Amino acid sequence: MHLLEVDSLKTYYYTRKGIVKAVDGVNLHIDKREIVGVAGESGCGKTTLAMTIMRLLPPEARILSGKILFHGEDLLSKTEEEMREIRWGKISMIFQHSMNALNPVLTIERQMIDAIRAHDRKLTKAEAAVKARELFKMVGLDPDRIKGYQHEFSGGMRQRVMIAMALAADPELLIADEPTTGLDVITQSQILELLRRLKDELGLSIMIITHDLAVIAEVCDRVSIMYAGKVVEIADVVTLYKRPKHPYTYLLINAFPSIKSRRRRLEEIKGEPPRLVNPPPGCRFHPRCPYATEECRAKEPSLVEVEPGHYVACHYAHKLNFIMER
Amino acid sequence: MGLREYAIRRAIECVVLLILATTLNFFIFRLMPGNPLAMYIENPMFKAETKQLLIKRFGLDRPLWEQFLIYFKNMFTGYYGISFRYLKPVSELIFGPRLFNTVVLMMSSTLLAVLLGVIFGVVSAWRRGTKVDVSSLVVGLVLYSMPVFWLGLLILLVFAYYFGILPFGGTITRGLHHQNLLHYIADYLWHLLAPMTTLTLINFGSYLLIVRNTMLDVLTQDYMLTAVAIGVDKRTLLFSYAMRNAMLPLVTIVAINLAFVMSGAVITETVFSWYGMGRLIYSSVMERDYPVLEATFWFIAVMVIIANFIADIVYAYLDPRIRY
Repeated sequence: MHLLEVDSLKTYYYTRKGIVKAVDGVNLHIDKREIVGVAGESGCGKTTLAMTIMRLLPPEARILSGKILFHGEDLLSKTEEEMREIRWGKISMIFQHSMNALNPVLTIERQMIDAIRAHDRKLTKAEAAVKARELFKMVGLDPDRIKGYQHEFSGGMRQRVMIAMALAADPELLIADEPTTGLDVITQSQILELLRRLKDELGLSIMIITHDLAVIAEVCDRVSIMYAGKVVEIADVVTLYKRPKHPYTYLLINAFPSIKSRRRRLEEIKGEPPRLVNPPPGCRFHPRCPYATEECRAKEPSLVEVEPGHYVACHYAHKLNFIMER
Repeated sequence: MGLREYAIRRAIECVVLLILATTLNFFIFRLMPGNPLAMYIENPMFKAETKQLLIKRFGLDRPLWEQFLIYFKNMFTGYYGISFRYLKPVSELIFGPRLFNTVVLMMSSTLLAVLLGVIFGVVSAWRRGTKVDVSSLVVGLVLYSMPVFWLGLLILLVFAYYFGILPFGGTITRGLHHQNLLHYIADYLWHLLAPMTTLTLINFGSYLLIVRNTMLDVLTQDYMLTAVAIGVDKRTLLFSYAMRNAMLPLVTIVAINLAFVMSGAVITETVFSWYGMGRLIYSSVMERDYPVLEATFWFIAVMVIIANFIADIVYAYLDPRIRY
C-alpha cells in the first residue's frame, strides 16, 4: 500500500467566467521515505492538487470525483473534524509565498506552541516551548531567536521556520509548495538539503511542488509532470531526464540550462499554457506540440505504463524517443 | 529600538507639537475677521473711560508679542482668562457641569459604538455573504450616511412626542426635586438615553464598516490560511491571530474620536438641549468670546496630541514591526 495515493482526482472552480478545470483526472502516489516532485508551468493545477489533498480549498472549488487514499483511507470521505486531526497531524504543508505565512504580530514561539498544542493537547505550554526549541535546532536555526517576530528573519530563515512549524505535530507527509521560489540559489540548495536530511532522519515523505526542474533534479526520487490540470508523465528522476517520453517533458527539460551541455540557445516552448476554463479538445498539449497529429486533436490520450514505473499520456509514446544531450 | 525608547521619543515630539499648536492657537484668532474690541468693548452704551479701562483690563493695549508671552505663560499655568460674555473665569465655565455632561455623553456613546461595531464587524466578516453579513452591512451603511440631526429629531418625534417615554431635552427634569442621589442619577440617565443612542448609532455604522473591511483583508492573508491548516482553535484564530492585526486601523480612529470627547458633539447637543461643551463652543464662536475659544481650542489640541500619542504606543505594542 502506498502512503498516499491520488486516483483520478477532479477539482473544478466554479467562477463567474466559467468552470475552471484546475485538476482534471490526476493520478499519483507517494511512498514512505520518498520525495516526489510535481512539476509544471504556473496555472497547471499543482497548487490546487495540494490544496485538495489538504482539503483547504476556497468555497468556489468543488471536488468532483476521485479518491485520495492516505494509508488506504479515503480523505475525501472524512468529516471536517477528522480532517482537522489529519491536517498538520499527519499531512502538513509549507505554503507558497511562505514569506507571508507567519503572523506578523505574534512571536514565532507563540505560533509554534499553538501548532504543537493544536495536535497534542496534553502538552503544557512549557513542554511545547521545549519542543519548539528542539524543532528550531533541527531545521538549523538558533533557538535563542525563537521569541522573535517574522519580520526579524530573512527569507531563507523564514522558510526554515515554516519547515519547523510543519514538523510541529510529527507528520508523515510534508507537502512543500514552491519551497525555494524567491530564494537565492545558495539558500535554495540549503533548504533542499534540509528537506533531504529530514526525510532521512525522520522517515518523512515529501511532495515538492515546483516549476523549477533544477529543484526536481536535486532532491526528488520520482517526478510527476503536470500540464493543464493533467499528469502527462510520471517517472523516476533519472529516467525522466535521460529518456523522457512526453514531448512536453522533453521541451520543458530543454528550456532549462545545463552546466554540462555545450553552449546553446535555450529553446522556449512556443505558445501559452491553455486557459483551464475551456481547454483544447483531445490532448491538451496539442496546440503547442511539434509532433501533434489529427489523432491528438481528436482523442485524449490516457496515462499508460510504457516501462515499469514510467507512465506517459501521449498517443506516440512508443514512437517518440528523445535523445538528451546531457 | 525598544518600546521604551520609542515611547520617549514620541513623547518629546509631542511636547514640540504642543508648543507649536499653542502658538498657532494664539495667532489663529488674531487672523480671524473681527476683533474683540468690535464685538464687545465698542459698545455704544459704554463711556470712553470705561472702554479704556476694559482695554487695559484685558491687556489689549499691550503690543502683540507681549500679549503672546502672557498668553503662552497663562496656558501652561492654568489661567485661561475671563470670558467676555459671562464675565467669569474661563476655567469655571469649562471645568464644571458642561465638561462633565459632555464627557459622559461622548464616552458612553463612543465606547458603545466601538463595542457594537467590533462585534458586528467581526461576525459580518466571518460570515461573509450570509444574511447576517448583508443585513449588518445595509444597516451600517444607512446609519453611516444618516445626518445626525435628522436621526436625533426622529428619535425625539417618535419616543418623546408620540410615545412620551423619553424627555424632550436637557440633562435633568427642570424643577423636579430629587429625593436622593440615586433618583438624580436615574433622571440623568433617562435624559442621556436619547442623545447617547443617536451618537452611538451614527458612529456604529462607520466602526462596523471599518472593522468588517479590515477583518476581510486579514482573513484572506496567507498567515490566516496557515493558522487554519494548523488547526488552531476558532477562538484563538479569531481573537489572537486575526483581531490583533485587524485592530490596528481601529486604534487610530478610536483615538481620534476620543480626542473630541471633550469638545462634544455640537449638533447632537443642540438637538437635545444637552448642557455641554459643544454648545459652549458654538455660542462662543457666534459671540466672539475669545478667551473661551482660546482655552477650548487649546484643550482640543492637547487632547488630540495626547490621544495620538496613546494610539502610537498602543499601535507599537500591538504591532512589533512599528518602531518609526
